[in-house]
Amino acid sequence: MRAMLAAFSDFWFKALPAHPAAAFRITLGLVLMLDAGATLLPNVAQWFGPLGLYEASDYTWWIDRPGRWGMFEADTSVEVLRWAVIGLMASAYGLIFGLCTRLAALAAFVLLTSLHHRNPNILSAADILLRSGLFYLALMPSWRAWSLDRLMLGRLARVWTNFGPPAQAFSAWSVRLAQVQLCLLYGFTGLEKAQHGFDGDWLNGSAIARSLRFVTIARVDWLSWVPVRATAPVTWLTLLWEIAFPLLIVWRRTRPATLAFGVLVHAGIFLTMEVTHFSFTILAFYWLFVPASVLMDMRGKSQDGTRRHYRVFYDTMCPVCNKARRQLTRLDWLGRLRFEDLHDRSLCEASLPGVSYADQLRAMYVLRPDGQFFSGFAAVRTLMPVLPIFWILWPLWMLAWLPGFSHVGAAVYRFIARNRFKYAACDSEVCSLHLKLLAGRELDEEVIAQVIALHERFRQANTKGAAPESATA
Amino acid sequence: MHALKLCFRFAWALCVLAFCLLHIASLFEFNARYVGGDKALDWLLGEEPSAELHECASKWCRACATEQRWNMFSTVGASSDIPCVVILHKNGTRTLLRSEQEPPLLNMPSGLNYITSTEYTEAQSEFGWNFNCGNGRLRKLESNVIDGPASYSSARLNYVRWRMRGYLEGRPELADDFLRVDLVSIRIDHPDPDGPPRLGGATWKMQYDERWDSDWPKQIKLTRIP
Repeated sequence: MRAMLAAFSDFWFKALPAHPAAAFRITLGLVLMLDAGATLLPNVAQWFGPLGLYEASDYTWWIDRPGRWGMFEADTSVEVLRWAVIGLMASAYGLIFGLCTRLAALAAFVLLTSLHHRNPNILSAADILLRSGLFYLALMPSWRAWSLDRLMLGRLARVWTNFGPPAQAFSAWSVRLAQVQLCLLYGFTGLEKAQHGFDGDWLNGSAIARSLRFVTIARVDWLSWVPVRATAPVTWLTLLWEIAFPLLIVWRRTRPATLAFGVLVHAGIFLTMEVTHFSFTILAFYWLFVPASVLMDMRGKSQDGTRRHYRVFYDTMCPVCNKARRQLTRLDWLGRLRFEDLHDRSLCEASLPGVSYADQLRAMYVLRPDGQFFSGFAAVRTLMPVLPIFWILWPLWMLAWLPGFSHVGAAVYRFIARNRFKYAACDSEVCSLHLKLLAGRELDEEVIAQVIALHERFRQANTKGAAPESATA
Repeated sequence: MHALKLCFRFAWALCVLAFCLLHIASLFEFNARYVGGDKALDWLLGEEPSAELHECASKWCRACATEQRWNMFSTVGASSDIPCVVILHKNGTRTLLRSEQEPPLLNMPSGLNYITSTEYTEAQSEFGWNFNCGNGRLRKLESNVIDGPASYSSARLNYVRWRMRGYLEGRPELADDFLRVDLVSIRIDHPDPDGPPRLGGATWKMQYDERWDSDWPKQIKLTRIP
């Protein structure tokens, strides 16, 4: 009972790093700015004015429903509404740069809700989701990371007091509300889709095919020829994912794959259908599930300002591995990687406890700043957030997390690692001997002893060769 | 002082927890009703208490501006309904003010925005495809305008008036030739399994009557056929 209470209290009040909330804030700010600037500001008279598409006085009954509120009356002039949209854009800038963040979030929520209630006929699910996001953002102290507010408060604190900058963490409850909102969204959407039974578009497998043929929503007709049977498995998989989302996201092991699938689904929706900013708004919520350490790794700096590096342990004797290292160095545009020699046993034993020499000879290891380490394909996948090429080729990054693709990736990695001797062109005797020792053999104690002996000979030969004066003396 | 601080922190935590649980319960109740939750609550609490509970949950969701039934694309549908304003001229011809959502008609001569309609359903019934980008808000509004049975509504009236303003801008004298104006819903069947979209039919929704609208673009008398 005590353990349950402790877990419950932990869930709601544990201190969470502010970086995911900051990413959520910046993304919502960008969406809001684009939405207000592109769809509201140029069309204020059309959406809200007396000579436009909407007569506010006809909807008094709707606005007057208990609980509903708004700042604008039916007779509020178009000029006032135009300034309100400009105020909304100013709030969006405040959110993006983290200036007067809490006030900006509250102002954005109030203004957007008031404008929405002024003409509900132009609203879609994307708009409701955006203003829901702003509601949760107004509750979050998202200024505690990546904001001008934090920068300025930190400087003021140093000048006026001896305290450091404000803490980059806050109580979890506001983030939990937003996370629960997303789970409810997916769960109930899935249930509503399934409740029509096999007469409905989803259980009979035709929903995605029909969506690609939806002439007023599907962007182009290129995919309208795709047969229903071809898209039925994706339709069922999407439905299953939506219904199971709340459970899949709670379990840590399935969380990355769940989020990766969602990114691919929403990217696919955005590319093929005109659904305004829904995809971007819902993906903003995804930041709240990404560990702060991953975001800090992408940024390259810890909470205390120290640089964050990934340490890559690889076989310096293997030409295939050396080539891979050169490729990674080329892709490491932000200087996030540090390469270590797995043959430096004292370093490896200190950095990777419990990982044997044999394990390291079988696969590359990556050690993250948070102390977790990964090998083989999982190590390759771990590097993706810190290599900017994968921010551009993000579908590959997402696919790497999906079951099926990750199994194929792991099998390919193991195949290459086991057979690298066949693909390697050695330029030295020790390299050839090293690979011959490893090729196709079980890495037991005997083989490891032979590898160690080979490297000791190589090291001694290098030392003698490097010290000719001492030899002649 | 320390005890006071602790008491305050404990009270604050309780308030926050109460808010969170109330919010989640309201969201859950609001959404669960549409997937069988209403029957479960009616059985559990009785119909009247269940209705009152729903009203409370709805009020809370409206106050937090999070009231939304999440059912996007729960039914995809095989056709689109698009509004079209039909102007009947005194000489018996018709002008159709087509929605920008409507795909281009494949057999229509190029450069012609409005057509007379005697051949509309026959020669021009094959549609092309729009590049759907950035027209989400007007599409939503037009879907809301045309949804529902044939009847008068202020949303439909506003829409017709707005289309007429655009049509008559700079040339109000054209309205002298109008006999009547109607709002019609055009159904475009989506390709199934292949081929272009096709005209599925047209349904009359509302006759425009300028007596109800002091903001009608020009003072003229339209024929009102009940």
